[in-house]
Amino acid sequence: MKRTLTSALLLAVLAACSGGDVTLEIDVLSFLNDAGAGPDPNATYAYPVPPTGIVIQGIDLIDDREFQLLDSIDDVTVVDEGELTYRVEAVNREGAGRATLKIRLAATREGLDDGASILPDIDLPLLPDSTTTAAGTVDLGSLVEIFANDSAWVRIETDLRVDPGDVVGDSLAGTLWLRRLDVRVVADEDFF
Amino acid sequence: MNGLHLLGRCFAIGVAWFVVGVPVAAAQDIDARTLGTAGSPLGRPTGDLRRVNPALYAAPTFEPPGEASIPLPIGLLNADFPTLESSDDDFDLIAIADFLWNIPWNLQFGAPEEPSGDVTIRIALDELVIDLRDAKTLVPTEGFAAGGRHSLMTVGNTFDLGARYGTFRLDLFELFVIDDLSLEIDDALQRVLRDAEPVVGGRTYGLDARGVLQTGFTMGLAYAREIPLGRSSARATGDDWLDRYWETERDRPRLWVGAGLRRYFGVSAVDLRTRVDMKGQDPLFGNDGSFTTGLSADLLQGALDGIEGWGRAWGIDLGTLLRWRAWEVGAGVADLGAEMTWDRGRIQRYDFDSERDAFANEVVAEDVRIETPIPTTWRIDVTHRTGATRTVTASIDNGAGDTAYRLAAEEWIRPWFAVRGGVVRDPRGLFQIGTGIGLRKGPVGFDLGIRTHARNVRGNRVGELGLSLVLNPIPRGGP
Repeated sequence: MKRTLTSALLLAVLAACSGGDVTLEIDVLSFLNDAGAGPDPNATYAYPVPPTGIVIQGIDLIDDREFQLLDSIDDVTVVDEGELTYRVEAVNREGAGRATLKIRLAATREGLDDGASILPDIDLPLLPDSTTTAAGTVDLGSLVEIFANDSAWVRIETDLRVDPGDVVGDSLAGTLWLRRLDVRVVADEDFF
Repeated sequence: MNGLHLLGRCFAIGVAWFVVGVPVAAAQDIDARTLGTAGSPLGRPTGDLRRVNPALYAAPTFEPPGEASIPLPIGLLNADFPTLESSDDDFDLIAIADFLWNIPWNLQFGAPEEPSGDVTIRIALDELVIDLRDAKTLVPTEGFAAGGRHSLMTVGNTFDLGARYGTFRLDLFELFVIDDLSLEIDDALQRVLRDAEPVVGGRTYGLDARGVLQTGFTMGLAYAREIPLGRSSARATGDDWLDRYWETERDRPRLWVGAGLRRYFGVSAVDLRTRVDMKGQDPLFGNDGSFTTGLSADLLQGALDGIEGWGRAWGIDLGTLLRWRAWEVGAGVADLGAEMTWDRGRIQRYDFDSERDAFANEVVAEDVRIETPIPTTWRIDVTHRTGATRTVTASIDNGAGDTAYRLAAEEWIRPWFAVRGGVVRDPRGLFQIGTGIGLRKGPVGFDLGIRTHARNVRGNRVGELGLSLVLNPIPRGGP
């Protein structure tokens, strides 16, 4: 709460200078390593070695974490639209398969358990001794409303699966890296 | 609306006020003749000029007596008035500021650019980037000062007692408003706002702002007279002695001086001095973020308490005018050394407590003496006249926080028809030009003026056209 004045003054200046849109770009990834609570912010998961054909679901890449928005922004803006830009990288050493990432965003921690908090799945192929990347931008849709708050919560899970048809006993080994996670929200000034 | 929202609104309006200001030297011209000379009065002794240079009370004017000019509000007929309804999609603070700065009395053309208005803020754990895009041009690079002394109504008279006793000007009552605004932004904060440089930990970003608004009335007495500079050397010999006398007399330099003393009676004054500091260590944001904003403001108030508590000040006006052959040089200063003193002032201090997320305020002093400034203004001008038909003048006007440089000329190419033009370097440093014509034929005359200006928040150069009706028109320089 101690930063509320900053937001009030900052947004007041913006409102005075601008009759247009205020675009907030939030580097979510930077907040996930807050106070040393997480691992290297980019190295998110060194995945295990699942037996062939078995799907491992719901591995927490990022467990429930809160990240900062501008305090009191809801006082001065109406959030119109938003999108999330991501880049995920897999450095796969053994086996072939697929990682499916699910990003959840919510205004509260409890909200992360709501099915409506999930953004569209991100598929990432895993190839032997290869680095593969998945990057893109997804529309936040109705989830954009959570950014009219002082902070938001994020959870990122992944499913890992070894491709069918691989030799029995084959396995997967490697590391998943979350390289970029930016939220871009366009807010209409609602100051006056 | 919570307290911080209210504070934010006040701050935003303050920002707009600072951005707009009311620069004296850039004041709007509604008279078409002045419009045509880009704001130069061409040596005509208007009321404001006489206050800055009281010697003009005694010096004879070159303007024919009896002409009356009535500016016509041709711009108001098709003006677009900005909406004041905040819920309206068209509500735009910049448009309102533009309107207040440039009331469309004259016909406007070439509207200023529509502000894009879009800005971007990037937030990371240890970084804050503010990209104002087009709006960054609104951030002043060398501080900002604006305001002035505005005379709303004057009741007084001028008594010309001839060359021997001079001329007196008695102002019985003059209602005034003074606004004086200044803003200083630290270099670091300027780079953040103008260059979108990231805010980083370990550095302080700050600004100082001051706004003074005071009202009241004055009483004043000015005296001006000619100082004899030699006498005609023509002697009463020969048949043409009278012609030689007037010829010598015409070449004799003439000097006028004037001085005025003005007593200020202040009715109310508000002087708000604010310091804002933003600083923090990495991480700036997040749960352990340390980025905080400190705001400290002293509010000085002077006001009447019954019949006591008047603000009071003495202001001195001094001026001189030298005419020699076709040349005229004038210089004057108004409100020299004036500072309003209030004996029953009140000082209140506001400090933002970042831990409690609230303002603390306390009355620091009550019934104490406080002082508020009255801006000194000065003017220097040089004029060259060729008979009654051509006038060329250059001037420097310094007001509260800004200076305007002007060059203008008027030529009566027929006794009933004049062309005129001028150029001014406005307080923004932009050159603006004006041109126009004057007609003095028949029962009524006209002045038409067109000029460029940048009285808008963006500082875009646009144009305006004005028309004045002239009653009792008098041709110049001949029948």
